[in-house]
Amino acid sequence: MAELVLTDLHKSFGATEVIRGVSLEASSGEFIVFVGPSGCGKSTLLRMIAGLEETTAGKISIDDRDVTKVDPAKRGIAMVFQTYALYPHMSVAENMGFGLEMSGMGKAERMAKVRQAAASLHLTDYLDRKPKQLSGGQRQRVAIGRAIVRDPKVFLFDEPLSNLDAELRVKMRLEIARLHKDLGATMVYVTHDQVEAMTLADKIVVLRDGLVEQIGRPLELYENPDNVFVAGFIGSPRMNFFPATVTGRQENHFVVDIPALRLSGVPVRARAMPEDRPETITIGIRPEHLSEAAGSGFSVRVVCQAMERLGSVSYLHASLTEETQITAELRDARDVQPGDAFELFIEPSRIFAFDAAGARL
Amino acid sequence: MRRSLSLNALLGASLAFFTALIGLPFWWVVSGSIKLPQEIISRLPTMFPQSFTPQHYQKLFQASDYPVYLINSLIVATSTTLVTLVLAIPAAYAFFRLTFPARGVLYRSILLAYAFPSIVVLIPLFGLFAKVGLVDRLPSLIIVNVAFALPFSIWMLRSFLAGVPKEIEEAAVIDGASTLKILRRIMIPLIAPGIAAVGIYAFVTAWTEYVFASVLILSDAKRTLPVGFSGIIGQYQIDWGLLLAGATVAIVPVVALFALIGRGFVSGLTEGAVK
Ligand SMILES: Nc1ncnc2c1ncn2[C@@H]1O[C@H](COP(=O)(O)OP(=O)(O)OP(=O)(O)O)[C@@H](O)[C@H]1O
Ligand SMILES: [Mg+2]
Repeated sequence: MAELVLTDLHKSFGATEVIRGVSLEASSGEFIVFVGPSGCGKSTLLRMIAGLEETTAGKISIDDRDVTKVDPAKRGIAMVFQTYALYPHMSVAENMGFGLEMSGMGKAERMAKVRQAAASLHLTDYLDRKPKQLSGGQRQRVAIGRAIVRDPKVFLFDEPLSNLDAELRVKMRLEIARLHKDLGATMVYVTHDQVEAMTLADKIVVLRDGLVEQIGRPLELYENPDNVFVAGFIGSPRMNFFPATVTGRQENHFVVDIPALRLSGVPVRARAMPEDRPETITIGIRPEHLSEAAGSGFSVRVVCQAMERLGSVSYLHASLTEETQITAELRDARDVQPGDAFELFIEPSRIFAFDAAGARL
Repeated sequence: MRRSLSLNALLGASLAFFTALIGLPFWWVVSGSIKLPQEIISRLPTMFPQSFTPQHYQKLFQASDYPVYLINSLIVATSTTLVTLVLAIPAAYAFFRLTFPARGVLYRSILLAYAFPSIVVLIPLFGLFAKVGLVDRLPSLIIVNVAFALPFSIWMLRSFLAGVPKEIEEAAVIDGASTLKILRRIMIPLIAPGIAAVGIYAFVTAWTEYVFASVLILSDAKRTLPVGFSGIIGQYQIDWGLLLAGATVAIVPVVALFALIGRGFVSGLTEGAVK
């Protein structure tokens, strides 16, 4: 059953339209993640679902009820802000119980609910403290607790972990995943962090300039991006793109020359062959699909410019010519120094093809 | 941050200078009020009292109308403070939160109220109050003082409201709080330092207001301290001891107010809300 349905949503601030027709369905219990470059409208979309921004056009329904014009408090949502937005003058317990108090619930019942939520978030010992006496992670847990006690149909998170340090972020990420499993609630989550998106999401929504570029399961987006934008946005480091000239076509692949890599006769797989043969296309290769191990297919000679060693893997930033750069993820590259030249091998079956407009071929 | 020794000395010296500048007159007034008359007017002023006498205070409270004036002033200043706050807080919130036509123009123009010297509005106001029968009654002073304190109070409270992170209010909206509930339960506690500042401002302006009090009030029993007291200390010959004792007592409510709500000035209340 669809819990949250967005139908052709539009939002304008004055003359500028920042959400330009977004449609989306989330079934009950689904974890939806919005990603996209800064300023693409993720927060705006989330705030529209919350009711904090008026919807210019389109329809929002939650649990089969049209809530487009309903007050935020009556939509059955709860929101966790990036900045926590706790009430600084209230104790943790009061913060968490405020919504219930506003809805007219009695004190005893309220406290029982608050205690229960606090226990599940390891906040029991802090119920009497003020927000300023808590650490960042604890504050964010209070904010989440405040959302939980409202028993919402849909949880909304706007970059909830981005104020935390790396270690805490991993912990809270796992905690949110656990919470999602325990509560079985529908969640909509905005993030900049690829790892958060890939690990938490049932469904990722990639936004750009107020439009949906692609919606899909995390691995689907990674393995089967619909266009150059999604291919470049999902995956880190970013996919390498090169122009290529089509010299031939077969049943399900093109044969291309890639001048930038000084390669010719490379077979490139296509999802669906277009009617007429395009002259030029863009090909994409993920850094992790380049290797230094002599293997299949094609190889290019590159000069190392910089090496980022992360321990388990290393990112090689190399150049082929003055203007052609390539990034590769290497597993075993201990003795490569800037200036060294060496061979990188490409597995042709891993190459993506895009047409001139950026759509996947 | 480490400061150099000379900078420290400079800071210390300027601090001492300003403390003396502000503190010395106070000390002079307070210490003088317990000196014998001949010591007060002695050719060589004494920094520390050589004599002690409660006689000026006795005279002030037993043989003059000072207590009456004191009570009138307390009524006027306290009422002014309360009415100002009751009106300014919702008005500031309305200017901050609600959108209505000409909001920006109205907000900027309320400070125009201060463009007119009080002497200019005095005569018309007297005529007005005379028509509605408010002359020679304390409410007239309260109205005037509130009218003068309001624009600045609204202006100041609005900027305090603007300092509260937007998300806190939004969280309260999602929690289902009505506009009035948000104001009462969230905003007022968070702008307490601003409310304290405005309260003190309204109290002190009403406490020291002279021009209107001297014109709008006719009968002696309705006078406020500044006006009434200027009558006590003598028209032809100044009773210095009485003056100093009266001045000392007049300072007390203001100092008490600062001590009582002055701690509200300490900001940092929103700490821990965001980040
Ligand atoms: N109240 C507003 N008035 C005018 N423009 C706004 C307003 N709020 C957002 N915008 C604009 O809408 C666009 C989308 O903003 P939004 O905050 O939704 O982006 P975002 O995807 O959340 O970005 P980020 O990842 O940086 O948080 C931006 O161009 C922003 O300037
Ligand atoms: Mg945002």
